Amino acid sequence: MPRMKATRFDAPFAKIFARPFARRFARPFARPFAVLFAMRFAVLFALLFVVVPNTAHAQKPVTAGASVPRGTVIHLRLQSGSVKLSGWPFDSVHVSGMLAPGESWAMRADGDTMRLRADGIPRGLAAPSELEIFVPMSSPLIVRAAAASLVVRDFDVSVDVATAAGNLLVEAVRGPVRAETMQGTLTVLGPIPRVDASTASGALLVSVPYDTINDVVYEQRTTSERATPFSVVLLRSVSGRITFDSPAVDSAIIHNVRGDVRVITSPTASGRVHVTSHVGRVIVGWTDKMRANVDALTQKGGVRGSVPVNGAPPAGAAAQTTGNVAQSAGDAAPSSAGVDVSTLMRRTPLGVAVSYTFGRSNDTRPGPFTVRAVRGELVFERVDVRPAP
Amino acid sequence: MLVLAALALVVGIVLSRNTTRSAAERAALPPRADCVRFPGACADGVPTAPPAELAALHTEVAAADSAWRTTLARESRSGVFPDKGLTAMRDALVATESAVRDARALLQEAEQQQNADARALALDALREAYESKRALLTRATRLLEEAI
Repeated sequence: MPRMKATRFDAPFAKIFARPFARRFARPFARPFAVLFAMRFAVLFALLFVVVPNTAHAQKPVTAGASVPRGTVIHLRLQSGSVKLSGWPFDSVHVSGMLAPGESWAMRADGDTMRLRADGIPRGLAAPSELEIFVPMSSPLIVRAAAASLVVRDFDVSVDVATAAGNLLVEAVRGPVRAETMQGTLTVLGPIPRVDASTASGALLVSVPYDTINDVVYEQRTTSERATPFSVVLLRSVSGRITFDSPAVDSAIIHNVRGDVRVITSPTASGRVHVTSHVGRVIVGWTDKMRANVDALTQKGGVRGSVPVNGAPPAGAAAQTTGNVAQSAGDAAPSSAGVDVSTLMRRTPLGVAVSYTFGRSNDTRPGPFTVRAVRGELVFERVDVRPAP
Repeated sequence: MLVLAALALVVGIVLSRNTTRSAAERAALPPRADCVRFPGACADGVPTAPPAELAALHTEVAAADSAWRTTLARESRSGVFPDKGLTAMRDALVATESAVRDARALLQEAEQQQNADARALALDALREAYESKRALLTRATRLLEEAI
């Protein structure tokens, strides 16, 4: 860069003021960026140590309890923070933990409903509430929260939980579950008889713990269909990724607008699975123990991955294979002996359609599994199931 | 120099308007279309009126939208609802509205081609898009009402 020449007007100025100024004040700014960054980080770090303990001390402890008649509806309203909500076998409610500054706790009986409420709006940088709440596991539960993250577990009856912005985890519930969050991750761990879950932008995961996915579950389903971890499942999101992973389901309806959908399941003989997506990908996972009767169509999207066929995965249009997989080798072929596979992939005026069925000839045939995507891509993938311990 | 400084000031003020606008105000704005992911949402000549089969559903969506805006107007005064939730709602509304317009464009395309099967598929897609929007608005309105 050419050095600027001093004019006769600014030369005295530079001599008297600018050069000493530059030497004294501008030099530190000539330090490498990394040094400056480290200095600023150190200042911020120090500030953090000053601010955090002060706000933590500003939390208020809360301990409260009350007895409630059996079957009383528990209605809980929260503002923010993290809340662990558990059912217990006693006919009483117990709350303990810390409340955010600006919040207060209230409990009152209202007919056949017990209302628990954290009132007030937490102040800006205040430490959030941290509460642990126990309520009777036989009491229907309704939770409404503004920005709280919740863990809900151990209930025998219905659970209805909604938060505007926060993560939700629901598990070990023996009654129907309705759960929703606008912005946050929603996780529902089965077995749960009925799940109605939705998010706007957060990820949505509905699954069973992996140690319960084993041969026993599959074999029971194919013989007596008693072991369905989920009976009825309704999942909906706008831009979050939906994952539904269960060896079997009676009825599942899943819809996503912009986010992806990943489904690894098989409907029972009288059940059905229906997945729709507008823009997001639909990923259909399959295992060699799964019985499938899949009918998938994407209007404007493509297809990739591996569907269960004899030999190599299909590529392009008009690939049709029918036969017994056990007699041939191929990466995509199920490994169990005597599995009948019929796969058809074709390009139609409506889009790309893929359909396949497979299962043993003496199995109960599963119900329909339909996938409809508008612009989303269809992806088929083989999933390895962890063997039973 | 003065002119440049004034120009920069004006540009700065204009640009900062969006950042200073509250989440509630942004959520109340009519959603713009996501033309990248939903190409049909910005196609020209697509009618906004619903097909006869979905007229009732369209009316329900309009009612849900009206209820949402009324509740949102009240909420913006209370400030209870978190900004993160409102921003997520705003983005979700853009996506669902784009899906509606995109499905409507596909329906028009199928009708122009006189393809009954394609029309049925597009109609299903439009129904899903409407139902997504209605479900979203209903959920958000209920959450907002219960949070106030």
